[in-house]
Amino acid sequence: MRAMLISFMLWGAVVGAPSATRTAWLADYHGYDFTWPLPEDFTSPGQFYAAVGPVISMNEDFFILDDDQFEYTIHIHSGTLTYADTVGTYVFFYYEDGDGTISFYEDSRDEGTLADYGTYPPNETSPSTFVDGTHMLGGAFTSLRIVFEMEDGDGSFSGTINFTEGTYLENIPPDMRDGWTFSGLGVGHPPFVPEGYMNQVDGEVYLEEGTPTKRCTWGNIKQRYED
Amino acid sequence: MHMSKTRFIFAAAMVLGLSTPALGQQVLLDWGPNCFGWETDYAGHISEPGSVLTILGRIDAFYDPLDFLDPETNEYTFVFDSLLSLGTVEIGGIIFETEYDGGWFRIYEDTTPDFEFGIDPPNATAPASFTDGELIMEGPLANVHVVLVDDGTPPGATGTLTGDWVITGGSLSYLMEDCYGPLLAAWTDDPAVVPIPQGYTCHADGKFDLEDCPGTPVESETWGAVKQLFR
Repeated sequence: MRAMLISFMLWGAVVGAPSATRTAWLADYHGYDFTWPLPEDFTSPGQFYAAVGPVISMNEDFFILDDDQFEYTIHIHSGTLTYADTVGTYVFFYYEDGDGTISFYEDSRDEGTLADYGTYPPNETSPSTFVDGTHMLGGAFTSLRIVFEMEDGDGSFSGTINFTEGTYLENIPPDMRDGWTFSGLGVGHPPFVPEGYMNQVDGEVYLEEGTPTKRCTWGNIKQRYED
Repeated sequence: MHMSKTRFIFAAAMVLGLSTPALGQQVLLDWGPNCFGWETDYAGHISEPGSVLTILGRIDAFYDPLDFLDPETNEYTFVFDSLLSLGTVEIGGIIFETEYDGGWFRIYEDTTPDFEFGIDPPNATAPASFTDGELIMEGPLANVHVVLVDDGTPPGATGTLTGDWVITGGSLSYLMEDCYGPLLAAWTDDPAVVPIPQGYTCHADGKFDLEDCPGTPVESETWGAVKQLFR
């Protein structure tokens, strides 16, 4: 047994012990989505998908929100469509160019401008009033998938993220800046969602927590098991 | 049921002094990471016909006209139960659609926060720690529908839960009786996406939107007139 254990530890020292990953919830949000510059158009050249809304809550291990003083918002931008596909009555949109973004903002209720959806975004207030104030945390989508059922209009999106910027980036440990978001999308039309928006959005963000590995020499390992 | 005089007067003032929520949709309540459900016959994205789904969770935020409820002070939990699966339809090997018949929701206010999912529900704390306290709102669910997509792209299998709700009972139902609206949630059954406690089969993060309140009468009153009612 001891010989097997030592062999295992040797393998670990040479190649790096396997990391045990854990998942940490980061944030909960909701809002509405839209495409732009044209509404309800995913595929024409130059078209993008976006979602904006309030941040409902965040993990207090990383951020302590002061809802009395500040408004917290989220902005999701798809980047360039890579390709689309259909399966039955479902349509899939994949964004894999790495130019999509997700960002969180903190804006003073007294000195800032309250978020205002307006109509037919982008408009005078959207997304501008959702992306003002302090850029708390931001990152790029390494992949994003949006799915819709073409008959009833409901759908979902999910994407993987690498957080790389923001005033409070340091609140997230360096080994926890990869993550993902996923959201339900509920079909909406006036008066169910602001005019010009497509769907209600409700989703959350998670971070992947990796257990760091530590390299050591064969001599260090032997020392641990010598009597 | 005990309700402080102050809250009762305030609530009554809301009923008398506020107009009914404007026609349309607005967020009524929202919940986030603290929500898991289990089914009696579910595996590998497939819900078998006759499987019963139960969902438990904690509400994180309330909005007008329930924004006087403070989740920082009290614990607000909910239960969705009696959701009878009609079976999962698989499409293209990557889309999994499940319709649920029936269903009921209940929302509780607990002054002693104690919710605990535990493992392998039902257990000693689930659903018991989600159904203690005061039943403030309840009613039927309808058209509950889950779509899950698992095409192998990260982070894993995700999708949507949708449905409809209407308020028919509970101690605060007089504020919103017969009010109704849609339910929307992000959905996953994949522990690679969200760690799901042992014995639970899904996680949902969602909200109730308020669409309309057709039966709530409106009468404008002054604050003085409202106070006179309770003297």
